[in-house]
Amino acid sequence: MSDGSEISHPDVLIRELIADPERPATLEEVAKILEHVAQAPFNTRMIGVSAELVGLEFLGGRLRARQDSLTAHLAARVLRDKQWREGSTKEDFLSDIKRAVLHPNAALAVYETRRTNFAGVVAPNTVPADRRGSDAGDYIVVLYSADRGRIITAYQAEDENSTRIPERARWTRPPNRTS
Amino acid sequence: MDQATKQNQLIEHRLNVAEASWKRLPQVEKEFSSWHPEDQEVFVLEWSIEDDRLRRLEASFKRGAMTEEQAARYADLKTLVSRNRPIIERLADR
Repeated sequence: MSDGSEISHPDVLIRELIADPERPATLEEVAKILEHVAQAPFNTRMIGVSAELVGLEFLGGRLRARQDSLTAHLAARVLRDKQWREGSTKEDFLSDIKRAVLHPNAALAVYETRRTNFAGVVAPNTVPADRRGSDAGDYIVVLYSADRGRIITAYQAEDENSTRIPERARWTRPPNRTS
Repeated sequence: MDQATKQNQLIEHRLNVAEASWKRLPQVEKEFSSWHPEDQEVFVLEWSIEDDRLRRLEASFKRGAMTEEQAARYADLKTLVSRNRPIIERLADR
C-alpha cells in the first residue's frame, strides 16, 4: 500500500483501491491510473467476431470468425454500431481512446468481477465530427483489465449513467466531477 | 441518396441488429459460463449499446419516422425485449 511517499504501480493501486474501499485515493493516484490506462495496449487476444459481420470487408480484408480483439471491436463499432464512421483506422480508434481517458472530466471506476480487477473510464466524447458515425454517443467508455494490463473494450454511450458499469464499482472520480 | 432514404436505411439497420442481438440471448446464456471472464464482462458492459439502440428506435417510432412494416417489427422487438431482458440481468449478476 502507498504510504504517501511513493505511489504504487497503477495496476497494484487499482487492486488496492478495490480491496480496501476505505482507502482514500489521492488526485495524484487517480491521475497516475488514468495516464497508465491511456498508454495501455489494446487486448491482443483473438476473439469471436459477431456473426453478422463475418465475411464483410473491413480495413482492406474480409472479417474472419475470429480476429484480434482490436479489429473485432473496431469492426463492431463501425459496421454494426455505427459509432465510428467507415474509414476509421485502428490508429484513429486508439488515439480516440487515449484522448478520452486523459480528458479532464474523465470519470474513473474500479471494481472486481468475474475474478478480474477492472478500471472503467467514462469520458466526454471528443471523437472528431468527421469520424463520428450516425449513432455516436456523447460519452466514451473504456474498460481496462488491471490483471492483464490491457484495454479490453471501448465504445460510445448516449448517457454517462447508463454504461452498465456495476453499481458496486468504486468511483474514484465520479461522473460530472471536474479535475 | 435523399435524407428520408438514409433515415429509412438507418432504422432498418438498427432493427436488424437489435433483433439479432436480443434473439441470441438465450443461446448466449447457455454458453456464457464457458467464455473467458473478460469476454463475459465485455458482453455485459457493451449491452448498453443495445439499450442505446432501443432508445433510438423508440425515438424514431415516436416521431413517426418508421414505415408501417418497421413499426410492426418494432412492436415485435419490444415483445422480444420484454421476454429476454431478464437474461441480460442474470448474466450481469453472474
